[in-house]
Amino acid sequence: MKNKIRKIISVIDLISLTGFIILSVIGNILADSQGYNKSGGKWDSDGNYSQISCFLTEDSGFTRDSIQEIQASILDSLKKASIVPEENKTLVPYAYSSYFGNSTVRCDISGRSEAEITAVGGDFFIFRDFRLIDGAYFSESDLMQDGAVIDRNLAWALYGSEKVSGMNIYIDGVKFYISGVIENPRTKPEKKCAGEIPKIYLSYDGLKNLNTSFGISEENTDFKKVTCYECICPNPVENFAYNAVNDYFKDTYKYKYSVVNNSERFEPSERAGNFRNVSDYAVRDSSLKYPYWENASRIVEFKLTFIYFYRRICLVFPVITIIWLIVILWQKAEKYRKILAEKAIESINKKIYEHKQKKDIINNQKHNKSEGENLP
Amino acid sequence: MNDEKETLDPVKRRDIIKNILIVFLAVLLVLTFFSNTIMNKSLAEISTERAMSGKLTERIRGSGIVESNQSYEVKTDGNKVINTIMIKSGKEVKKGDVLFTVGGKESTDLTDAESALAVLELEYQKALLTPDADYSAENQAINSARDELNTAIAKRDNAIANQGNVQEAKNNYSYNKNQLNSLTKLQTKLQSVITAIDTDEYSMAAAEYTGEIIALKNNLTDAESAYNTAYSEYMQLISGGNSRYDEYSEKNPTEPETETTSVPTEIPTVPVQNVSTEEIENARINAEEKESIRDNAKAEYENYKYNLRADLVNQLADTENQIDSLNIMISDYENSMDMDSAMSIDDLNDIVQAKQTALEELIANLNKTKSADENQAKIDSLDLEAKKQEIDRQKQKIEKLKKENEVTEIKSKYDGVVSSVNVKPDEETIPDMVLAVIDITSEGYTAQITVDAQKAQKIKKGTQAEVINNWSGNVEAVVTDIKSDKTAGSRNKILVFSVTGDIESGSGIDLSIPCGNGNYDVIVPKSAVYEDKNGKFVLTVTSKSSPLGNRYYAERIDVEVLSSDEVSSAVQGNISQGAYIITTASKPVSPKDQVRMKDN
Repeated sequence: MKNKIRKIISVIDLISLTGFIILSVIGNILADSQGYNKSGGKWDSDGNYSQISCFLTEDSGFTRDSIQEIQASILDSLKKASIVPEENKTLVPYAYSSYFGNSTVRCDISGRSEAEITAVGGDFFIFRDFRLIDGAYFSESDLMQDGAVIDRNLAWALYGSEKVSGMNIYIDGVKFYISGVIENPRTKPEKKCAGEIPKIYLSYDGLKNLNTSFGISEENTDFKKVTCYECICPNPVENFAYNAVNDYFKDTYKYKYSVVNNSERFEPSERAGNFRNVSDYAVRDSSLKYPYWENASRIVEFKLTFIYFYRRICLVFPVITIIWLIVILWQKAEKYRKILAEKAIESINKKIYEHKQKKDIINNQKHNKSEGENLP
Repeated sequence: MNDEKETLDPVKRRDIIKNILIVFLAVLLVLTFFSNTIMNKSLAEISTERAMSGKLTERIRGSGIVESNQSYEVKTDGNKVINTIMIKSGKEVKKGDVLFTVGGKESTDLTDAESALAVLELEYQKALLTPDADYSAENQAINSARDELNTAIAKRDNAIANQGNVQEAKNNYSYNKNQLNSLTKLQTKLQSVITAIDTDEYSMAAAEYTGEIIALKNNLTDAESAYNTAYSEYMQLISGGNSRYDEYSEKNPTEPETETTSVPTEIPTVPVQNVSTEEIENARINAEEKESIRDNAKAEYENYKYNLRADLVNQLADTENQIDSLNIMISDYENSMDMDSAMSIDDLNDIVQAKQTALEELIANLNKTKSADENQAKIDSLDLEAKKQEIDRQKQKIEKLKKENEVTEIKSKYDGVVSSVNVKPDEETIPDMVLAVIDITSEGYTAQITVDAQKAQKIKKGTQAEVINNWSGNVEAVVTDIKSDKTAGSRNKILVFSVTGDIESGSGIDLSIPCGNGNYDVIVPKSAVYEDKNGKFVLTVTSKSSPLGNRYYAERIDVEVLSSDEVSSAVQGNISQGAYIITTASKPVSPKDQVRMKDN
């Protein structure tokens, strides 16, 4: 009977541990699939940086002009923590973006396609886990701001090739050149959230040329609108970076923003602990509109909440088994404990004796040597 | 289970162990042989490019519209019909080449011009009929004013000359007036007395003219009264049953008689009781005496009254004559002395001054009117002249239109290239309509691009730009001017290019303008430069030889980006020309990771 119980317990433990391992592997694969959330780790492999994202509503009033303010606010917080920028090194890289609208994109030949335009600024492409197929990313330091990064779908739709960097495209008659071509979204959540419409990323300055076409004037703040701000910030203590960003937004943009610590959002303890709040994902109580990469991350986050919670459940039975075994062993090994204790004491005493012996011999040798030197 | 173990054949057990060992060794052997291949498959595949030295040029791109420096618009002056079009857009034409042939058309312009000429001539004729200015009314007014002035001056002078006579006449006038007043009063008194005599009522009559009449009347009244008393006594005496007395009494009951009555001469037959005849006779005699007295007084009174009235009437007639005479004198004087004569010399001087001023004003107004009329006359003369000239021009225009209707060819005035043709065959033209635009090729083309002022600082005049859409191969563009964008609030600069080659105005041109270039030792693909908290870096490939071949490792090299264009970056760091730079990898590569080169 005892053997049978032992076998059942062993099987259950084995299944639990197997489940634990499988869930761990699945969780890691899922978490790794969202490369967007690992920019902090790429920026600093030691893990001293956190990647913080902030998403804002369309009417929040957060614009390009606000970027300098929040950067100054973060740097000020870091300065108080004795962290200051070094020469030629960026302390807090940042990026910002906003969905701008859909438009028809044409090329020099007959190709044309509908595309989703995203206005980007800062080090946007450092944060995104795009795979560059051709060309290069544009940056704010470029002399010309008419570069465009398009995805493979758009490159194929326009030119029938993915090696099209340097070619021209036209949006509402305004010419841009293809700076780089990126791979389409690869993971299932990304594909689901990104949709079928090809993507095109343009700089805010480049979008100024589209003002007339989109009915935007220089005075209108729409073309400066920012709905996604991200930064990689040193995190000397827990939640420092998160608080530094959140402190800026919490008063001015109350109820119009959401801050996420990307570096920690997929941590098993974080996700398993968040299981009790998983129903929050079903509630839509804000006018926030997330970009597709954030929606994909939220899907993964939702899945990981269950995976890591069940993984934790899988550990319950093996832990109980181990505790139970320890108790039984403790009870059964009482006489062995005594013998072991005597042997341990004897061994310790022996070690102490040997140590003293060695010390005495050394002292004697030193003494003899000094006497010999003193001899005439 | 133990039973099963016990029943297992030792030989069989050895076989099983042997087979397991064989399989294990076989797998080990296979893994050993393919270890390198397996390992390579697990490594990130990379592609590389070699770091080069050379030039790196930053460029500004822009698009503009090519415009001719000078173009010639082919126009027509009249309404015509396009017969044939000899040109098309882009065609090169020489001076004198026929561009269009146009047919004459019943020109509405000519009809309109002729109608306009008729109207102008009519207006001119009407203008000639304009009457001369008439100043007769003004002259008449001036003459009247002048006469009035002269009259006023004469009156004033006369007043000054007759200043003594006037005073005497005035004194006489005053005297006569006083006399008239006295005589009028006298007349009134006389009339009142005459009236009193006529009515025998003298209470209101002037006493100085009544004389003794009042006394005479009183005497008469007294005599009458006495007679009445006597008569009454007599009648009382004889009244006893005497019908005559009764009749008398009834006839004069109580009041005094107003008419003269007489005492009866016969004594009644029936005497009054207790009265003697003597008493009656005495009474009758007394009455008759009283009657006589009364009659005398009455006669005296009547005579006096008659005489007095006649005298007063004579006086009144004299007085009225005098009054009439005085009235005539006064009237004459007053007639001779009008208002002006009554005025003082100062007043007359003022009147003369006013008349003088009025006259001067009239003269000034007349002069002003004349001056205005003269000016108007000059203007009218100029208008007339203008109308005449306009008529001449209209005539010339009509002549020109008549001539133009005969033109059948429109020729090019310059050498050039047709930029646009704006008409179609059989199309009717209107005056000044642009039929075609011809770019004068000898003047060249320009294009303008607006760029940010900061970027424009890197561009110099004379820089040759690369024409991206240079399909013909011979189009060149050179920066000739950099000027400010005058648009309000703009901080841009306008780059002006001189464009030459096989190009037309109106076509778009894409330009890439080099703005400073430099020679760099190490130029790497722009996409190969990464950045993390330690700064920018590139990943290079290092190789190590091993018995199984070369192994490749990624190596991080920190760099500083000196300059970039769209595809390349010039970097500085512990990197040399020829180094293999990792440009892409199949999965994330970290420094010191082993990688495999992409199979070519």
